[in-house]
Amino acid sequence: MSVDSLLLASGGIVAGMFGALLGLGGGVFLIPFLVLILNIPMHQAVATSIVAVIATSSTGAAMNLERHMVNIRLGMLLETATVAGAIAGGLTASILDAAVLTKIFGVLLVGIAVMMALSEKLAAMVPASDGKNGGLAGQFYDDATKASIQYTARNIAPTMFISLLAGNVSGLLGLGGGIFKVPAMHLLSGIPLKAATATSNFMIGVTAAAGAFVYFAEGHLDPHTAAPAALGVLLGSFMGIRLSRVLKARDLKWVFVVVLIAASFQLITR
Amino acid sequence: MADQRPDHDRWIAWTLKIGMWLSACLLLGGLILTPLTPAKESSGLFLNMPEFLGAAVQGQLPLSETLLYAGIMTLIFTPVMRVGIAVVTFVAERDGKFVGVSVAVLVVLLLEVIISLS
Repeated sequence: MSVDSLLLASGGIVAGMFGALLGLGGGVFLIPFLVLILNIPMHQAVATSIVAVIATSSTGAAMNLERHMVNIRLGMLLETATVAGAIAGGLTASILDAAVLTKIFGVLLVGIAVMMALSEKLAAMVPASDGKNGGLAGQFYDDATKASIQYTARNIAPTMFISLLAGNVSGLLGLGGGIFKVPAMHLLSGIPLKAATATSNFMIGVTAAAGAFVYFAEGHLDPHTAAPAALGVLLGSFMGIRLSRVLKARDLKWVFVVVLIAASFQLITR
Repeated sequence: MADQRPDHDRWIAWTLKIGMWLSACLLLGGLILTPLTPAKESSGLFLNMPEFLGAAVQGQLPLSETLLYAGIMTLIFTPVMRVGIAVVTFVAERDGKFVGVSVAVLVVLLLEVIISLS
């Protein structure tokens, strides 16, 4: 492997590890690393991130499927929205100037930092209930409470709309979009947080693939950048999952919030 | 509505695992071979899908490039395969509504592939 590949893989490991510690994909940290430190053009950075997102999502989804945490039907239904959003996002990105795309990403990072800061409050909020049965039941065994949790998805329409937007963010900026979908599934559709996170992760691979086809077709995908970064993010995610058993994300959350806001400032003023 | 049968969850999980391991091996192989490839042959090519397929079929790409592009393509197509397996599982469960939903997602993805190839 060349020095460049090792540097990309190292950046990917750090991004994947931080992402996994916070329950995010690595893209939030990978794109600023590629653009601000390695001076990689924004479109190429987004294409690289989207490939890394597929790798981490596929691995995480396989693990969650084996634990029966994923609501496959709900995921497939919401994918109709995320895939449409991702294709639209990818096509929009291809006509946007790199500087504009960089600034949009910078602004979005502020939003993600705010969501991250409020994550505990969001998780503690009681899900909405409209008393209607959406016909999308699910159940899983919760290791923490040692109990089988049963639930029914409600209010699917607003969650589909948020999924459309999350898909758009994925295609436009190379992120997974879970930070928007998980609160929507939990708060609007009443999905328990663990099942919402697993189902969101399950959907991200297909959403990212829809965006990746656009970037591949446009010739933005450099395999020499994407390959080491994707492998690095994948390795980093595994390390992050292990570290999360000994480190509490809450202890690190504010450090990452500051890092994201600093990165967003650098990107917006670039 | 009946819950998903556990064995069907595993079918989809194995599809993702096989795709991931295959693509990881291809990418790693490509990265290991890259420094061994003469610089003039690996000159930062940014091929799109039809260009890669055309060049690979005609043997115009060094092995390292072929492995890297093949690894990326395997990675991108893994979730598409997963949707295909989901269609099969819903057919096996005789769930017509979700056969329709998953076929719709698959059709959109395949149309995108066809447009990308053209």
